[in-house]
Amino acid sequence: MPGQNVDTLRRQGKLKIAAFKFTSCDGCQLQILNLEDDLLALAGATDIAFFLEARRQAPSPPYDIGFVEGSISTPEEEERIGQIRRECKTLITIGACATSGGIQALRNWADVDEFCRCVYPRPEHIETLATATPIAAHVFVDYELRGCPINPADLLELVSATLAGRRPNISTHSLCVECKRSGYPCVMVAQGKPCLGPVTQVGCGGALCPSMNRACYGCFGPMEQPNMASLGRWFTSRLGQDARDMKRMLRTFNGYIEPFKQASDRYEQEEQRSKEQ
Amino acid sequence: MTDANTPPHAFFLPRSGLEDLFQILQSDGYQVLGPTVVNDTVMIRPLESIAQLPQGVSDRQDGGFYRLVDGDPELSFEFVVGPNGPKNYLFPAKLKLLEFHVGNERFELDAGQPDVPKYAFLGVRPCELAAVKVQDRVFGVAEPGMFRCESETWYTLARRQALFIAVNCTRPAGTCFCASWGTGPRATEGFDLALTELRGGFIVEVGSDRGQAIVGRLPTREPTVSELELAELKLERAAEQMGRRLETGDVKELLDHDLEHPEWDKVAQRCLSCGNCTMVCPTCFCCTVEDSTYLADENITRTRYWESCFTHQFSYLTSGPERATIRGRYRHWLRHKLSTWWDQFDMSGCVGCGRCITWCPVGIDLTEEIPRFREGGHAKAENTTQSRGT
Amino acid sequence: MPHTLSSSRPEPICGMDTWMPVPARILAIEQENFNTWTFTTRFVAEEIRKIYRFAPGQFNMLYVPGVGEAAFSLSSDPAEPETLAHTVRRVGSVTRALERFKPGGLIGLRGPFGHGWPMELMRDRHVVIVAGGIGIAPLRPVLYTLLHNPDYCKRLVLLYGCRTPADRVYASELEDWENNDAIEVLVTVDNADSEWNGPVGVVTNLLRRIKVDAKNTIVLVCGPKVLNRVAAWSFLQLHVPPDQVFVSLERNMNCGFARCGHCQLGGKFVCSDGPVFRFSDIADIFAKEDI
Repeated sequence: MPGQNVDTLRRQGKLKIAAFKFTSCDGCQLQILNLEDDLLALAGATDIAFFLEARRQAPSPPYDIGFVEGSISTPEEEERIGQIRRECKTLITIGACATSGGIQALRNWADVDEFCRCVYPRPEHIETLATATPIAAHVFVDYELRGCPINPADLLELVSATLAGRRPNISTHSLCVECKRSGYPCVMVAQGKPCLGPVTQVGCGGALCPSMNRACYGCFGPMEQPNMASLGRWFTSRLGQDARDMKRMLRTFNGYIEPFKQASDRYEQEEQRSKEQ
Repeated sequence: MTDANTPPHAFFLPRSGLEDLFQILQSDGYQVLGPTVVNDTVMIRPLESIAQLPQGVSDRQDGGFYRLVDGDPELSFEFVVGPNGPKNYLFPAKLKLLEFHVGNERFELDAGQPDVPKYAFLGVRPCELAAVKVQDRVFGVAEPGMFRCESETWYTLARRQALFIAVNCTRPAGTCFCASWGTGPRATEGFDLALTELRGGFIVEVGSDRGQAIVGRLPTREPTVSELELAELKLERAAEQMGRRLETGDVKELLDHDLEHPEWDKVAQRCLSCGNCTMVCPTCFCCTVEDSTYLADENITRTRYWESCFTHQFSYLTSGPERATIRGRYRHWLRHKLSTWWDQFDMSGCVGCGRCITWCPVGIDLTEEIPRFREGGHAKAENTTQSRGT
Repeated sequence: MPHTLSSSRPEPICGMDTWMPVPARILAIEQENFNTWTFTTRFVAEEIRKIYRFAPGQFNMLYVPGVGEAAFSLSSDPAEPETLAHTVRRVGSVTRALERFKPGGLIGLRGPFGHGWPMELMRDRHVVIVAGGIGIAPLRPVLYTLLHNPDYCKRLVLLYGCRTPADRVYASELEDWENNDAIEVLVTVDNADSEWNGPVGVVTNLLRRIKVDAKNTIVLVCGPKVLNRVAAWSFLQLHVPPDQVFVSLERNMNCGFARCGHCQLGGKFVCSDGPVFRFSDIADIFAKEDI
């Protein structure tokens, strides 16, 4: 549910919106620019205050809504997010990095020092944390927009809903509901493709991958109350997936968010057990 | 019901006559909706020509399993139901209901519902006709006791205009159990024309005046006795070859009697709560109407979506979903279909199409679940509310 | 028998479409407590005002344009159906949006929906009303009706429970009723303050203070889920027959006329079979969770 404070922002003139970037690929901020047709209307209805990707000038805080992209992976970021939280009445994370840690959270299962030594000629200049963690692990988050990248329509819907004072029409149920509503054939049942749709939250804009005859790979992260164990049993017993496949499938963009994390850890243990045997 | 001994309503339409039928439907202004193959699945879609029909295609269906296979190359309807059906058009999954803005004294309507097309369903199956009958009851089409505002505008209009050209099932799928409900494999009501496919053509039964008028324009002839007998035989065999079976006589009492049966816990371990069963069910009617607005625009759109009882938002009340567990949601769904539907509409909410079995991603099968409720469980006396409370 | 004493189910007034709310103006907004307001409204169109009637216990879908709808009991006097009151507690987006309205604002209404309280059964009976918190709202039309017709029932008792004295809604009316010979009013709070002289504890404790003629009593209950259960069972323990205990239930509602499916409770549509249920009709599912 959106924070109560989103709601009370209305009527005090335009919403002052800011976007902040942490460790990420910029793809989610780019999605805002990809709105193209809606961008002028968005700029007309709101005051986009701090958006380095689109503007050079940075008006001062406080902001009504702060959109945060990216995960926390350096000591500097750890500090900055606290400051930003104080400057934003409502803080909304956008995208998988900010919401679950993102791809870079894969290092949470590995040795970061080793990565640094392999990648950088002068690793001593690299200042980084051992983990990449979601924003909510550091400060209170009012609302999360999922996806890698986010669906720009969701962002528009969130701003529209805030302006109208209504709850955003953003659902937390499975992708399958939207896939069936859109009339797409099921790639899992009809073609045996391991599809994460039944445990993944809807939002990509009408079941994007199944609409292209491909299996969902879970870029919107876990839905409300997913039954990971049951789907996993089916994937491994009927669709030819093994523990390693399962682990890799779950550890993509949202591997570090529960319950994908717990399930992937379980498959990792299983993988190790089977290696030992 | 027509049988082999009363031929007056039966005609024989040679296979080439299917093209004529299609032409007639189009020239009468119908949008023809029929089966066609989309991504390895037979779906009901708008058809431009009969060449789009899945000729020579058959299907294999099982719990969580659907595959198209080669069938008899001369048959156009050897497969059975796919994931969608007439419901997707009579009760669309997403429908804009209203667009308006707030005026001084009233809500000024900017746009109402889109126009309802005139649909002709070609190749609709008997179980789907049964499902349409169920939804007729749910939506109260022409039901006198209903309040004026309770009729469903789109459904009522679409339903009245729609033409149903049924195809009886001469080969049931592995998940079919219409014979258990008596809703198939042969259509007995609710159609304008009903076809039974033979290699050379179709036995045609007429079910309405509209159907009669169409038959009059088709190149039909009297069927031979052997053609009629063959059609009968095929339908009889289809009834015997149902892939699934459900003992329906006691099923309502069974599910009412023990709400805490341990099987609910077991099936909840498997249920994904993904909502697929509700999305493919031809009788499920739950929906949500939402307001949407665009940035600072004053226009308000009210849109209706298919809703699933497996979502949190379905029963959400201030503190969370009323049915907070998957167990509770599956129990609600299954009981609704097989038990409480009788309380609400005096009929079964299940027509035996088997879609919920085939399209469940993990193959949960109500025809397997029900027998489990017959075994074990708690004693009846322990289970009344009053004894729990006092 | 006056119209308002029958339990007949007045027809819903609809707009140009099933889902089109009918515009109504807010006439007055009265703050009941820190999070609860009573909105008095009137349909804009006179022809609607002339035909709109409701029975005690029925509800409207109250619509805030662009925000959405929520179900609210009618809490005003059914004998004056031209002005309709809804008592609203701030819990979700619709109620928060309502908070921003001022008198004169335009909202929408659809209704009345559902089956209300069994007014005809109350004739010559003892009527005991048990309400918790804002649960008194759907019962206020019953109180108005019975107080207009003081000889209709033999005895009228109101047992009202709240968290604190400040949580009481209709506080000034409660005081009026306490001084009215036609009704016995007992109010209890979970947590008292220094000003509070009344009873402290759950509302069912008040049962000890009244003598119930079990066979001859009609019980009306509305409150939070737990109160509904405890109150209903308490009366059953006092041997009030289960078909004389009535409970008003709450569920997620979207349409109001048994179409959208959201409000199902077992086989019941709370919006149209209820919201007021006879205990004996729902005994098998009444205390079940997750149903």
